[in-house]
Amino acid sequence: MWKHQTALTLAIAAILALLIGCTRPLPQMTTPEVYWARKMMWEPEYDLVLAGDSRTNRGVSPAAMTRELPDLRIINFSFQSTAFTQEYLEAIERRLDPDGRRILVLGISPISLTPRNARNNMFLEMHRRHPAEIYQRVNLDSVLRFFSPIEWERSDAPLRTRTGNKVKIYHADGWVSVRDDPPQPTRNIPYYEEFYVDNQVSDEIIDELLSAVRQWTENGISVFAFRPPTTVAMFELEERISGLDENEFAERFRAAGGTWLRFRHGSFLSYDGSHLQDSAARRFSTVMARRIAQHLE
Amino acid sequence: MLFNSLTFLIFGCLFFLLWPLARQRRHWRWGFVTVASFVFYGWWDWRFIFLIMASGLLDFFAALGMQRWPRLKGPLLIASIIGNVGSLAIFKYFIFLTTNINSALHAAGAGWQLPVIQVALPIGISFYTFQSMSYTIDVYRGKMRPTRNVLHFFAYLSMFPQLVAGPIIRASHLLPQLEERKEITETDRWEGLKLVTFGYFKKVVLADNLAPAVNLAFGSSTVEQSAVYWWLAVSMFAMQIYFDFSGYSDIARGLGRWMGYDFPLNFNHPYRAASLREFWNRWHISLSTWFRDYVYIPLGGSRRGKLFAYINLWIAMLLSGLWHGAAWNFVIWGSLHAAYVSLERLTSWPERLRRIPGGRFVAWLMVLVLVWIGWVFFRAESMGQAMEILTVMFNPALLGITALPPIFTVAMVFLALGAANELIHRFDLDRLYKASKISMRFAEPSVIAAMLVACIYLRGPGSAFIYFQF
Repeated sequence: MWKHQTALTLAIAAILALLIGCTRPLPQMTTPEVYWARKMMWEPEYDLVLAGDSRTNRGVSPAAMTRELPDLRIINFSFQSTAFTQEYLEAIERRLDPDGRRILVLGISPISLTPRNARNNMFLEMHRRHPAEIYQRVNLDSVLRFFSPIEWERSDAPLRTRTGNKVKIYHADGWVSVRDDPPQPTRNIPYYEEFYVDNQVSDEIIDELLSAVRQWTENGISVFAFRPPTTVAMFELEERISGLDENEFAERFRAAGGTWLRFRHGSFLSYDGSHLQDSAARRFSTVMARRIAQHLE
Repeated sequence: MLFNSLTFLIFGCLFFLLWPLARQRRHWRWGFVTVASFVFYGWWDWRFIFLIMASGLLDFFAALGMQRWPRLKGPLLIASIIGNVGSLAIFKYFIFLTTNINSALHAAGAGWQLPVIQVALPIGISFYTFQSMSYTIDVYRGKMRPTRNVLHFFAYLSMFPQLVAGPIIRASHLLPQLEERKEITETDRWEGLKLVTFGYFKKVVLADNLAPAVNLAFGSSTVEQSAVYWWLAVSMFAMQIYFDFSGYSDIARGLGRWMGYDFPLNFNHPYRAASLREFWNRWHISLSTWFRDYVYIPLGGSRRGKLFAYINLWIAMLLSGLWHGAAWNFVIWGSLHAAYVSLERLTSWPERLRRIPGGRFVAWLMVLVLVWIGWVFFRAESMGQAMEILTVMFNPALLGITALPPIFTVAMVFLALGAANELIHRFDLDRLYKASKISMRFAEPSVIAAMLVACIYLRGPGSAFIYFQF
């Protein structure tokens, strides 16, 4: 037994790890938590900000929209289970570049107007964290990324997670694409049947939102809104029990100075009955971007 | 605290930083190991520390009582066994027992049911309870003298490297080692590093990269109608459970070596076995020898004739199945292996096969198939699923190649790597670099270093060790 065998092994391992760590393509981040923390650190440097809950988060790809709106810097600042509370409305506006085009696009699902989501949602959870904690989380991740396992498919690709057959990809522009093979377009219906019991859309949240829209449009911000397309069954269910009257809401939204975009439900594939499958989300983003481009002309 | 976590890395660094100081004196050493082990265990749930303490104190005082009042040896042993088995019954088997009794009551038309109380399962309870019981039984049998120091006893019982997933160490093996202050040599450091590296490699590179494909196959709501698919999936699970569990044992043995202690071998390449008896001599050795010494032999072993030998074998194997978990699939797995070993004893088919040319290979293949069938019951989500999978596996009409999910492609690479790892040992291929002093001096460190780096960059999606649940 050579007396330096252990030390030699550890030295070789350290050199090898350093070599691989320095030469490999680094992943963008290591955990979804870091992804959401990074979102909170976005600066006011965008022309178009998308906002809403998980249906907007998974349903709209800024990259796909950019092809139709090439001059705009677009991000998807939506969070899952989020409602249009005062804090969130202020945060959306803060992502706009004061010297840019200043466009807000709001994905209005009935869920994003419910009191339960207003009390407890992912945006609020991140918002209430101390900025230093978010900063630490993001910076510690830079170290952890160095030692993160090499991805088999594409090492420099965005973070991806897999649960069963469902693969989620966390894109740098804020879109979380989901592919579930095979899709199950009726899976979440029972959940939403329960969700709206004692939790219908709140007039208070709607009033706050419309008041913000009025103020934004008065300040020269172009505000668009749409109801994220979902399955026909889900649309009918929400029409029946969510308490949202889409026509009335759209009317009030227009009166506040915004532009309401209407899309046909059931035209885009959903993987769970509520959210769009990645390919459908890309297609929808393109269609919506074209509509926005027409209005901006 | 998981071995494959950042928390354990920090804990381990702190422990081995302080160990050279702490091990200087007996009482410091025992106290330090006990406190560190309680921190390690309490990291999951601090309340369960009291359970180990209660179980340990019962056996510590029972053993002392046996020495002091030899006439009370019997009652004290019974009290110790009732205490240990009772705690297992409450924490591990209570829900299983009440649910099954309620089903029987319902079937009998009884108008009342036993209350089913949800009890959290303390991690590793089966390991430390068995370890604690072996201490009192060995003292009862006069095989060892009890320790008079409670810290000495708890340093043995709660020794963190092997506390939650084995190997199950006999007191007669570890207590004397804890008495000595052994100098840690370069050989200990090197052998420890090799064991820890092999262990992590098996767990985080091999087992964790096989896990997603196994979870996909067994987690699906429908059973894929392809025999090739299921033979692959079951092979992956067979390798996953082996690497997961033997990886943990290797890490435990390596950490023990760094502390200056020797823990017994727990896995000796079980898939090389050419008979079921050989398989059980190679798989989870510390558990199978525990059942042999504390159940099979006390029941009479094979001393009271062939019939009793078979009955005793079945009792030991069924208990071994139940030890793994409170569910019928584990009972079936245990009985299946009892049936295999009984048939083997009755017919001596592996010995007969080995006499013909190529017979050893056929026997090895048959053992693998039989063990794989057992794993289907062990892993399946339900009895129905297990039966359906076996029907597909043995249906010649479903042997056609089907498109495999992409996740299988990655897993197959690690399946091949795992098989290669076993073949290297089978054919002793590492002798190539052991040929000369120079090549051994540089080649072996390079191989270990490469495996260490693989543990960082090729690790699979992290998950807990499978055997923690037992």
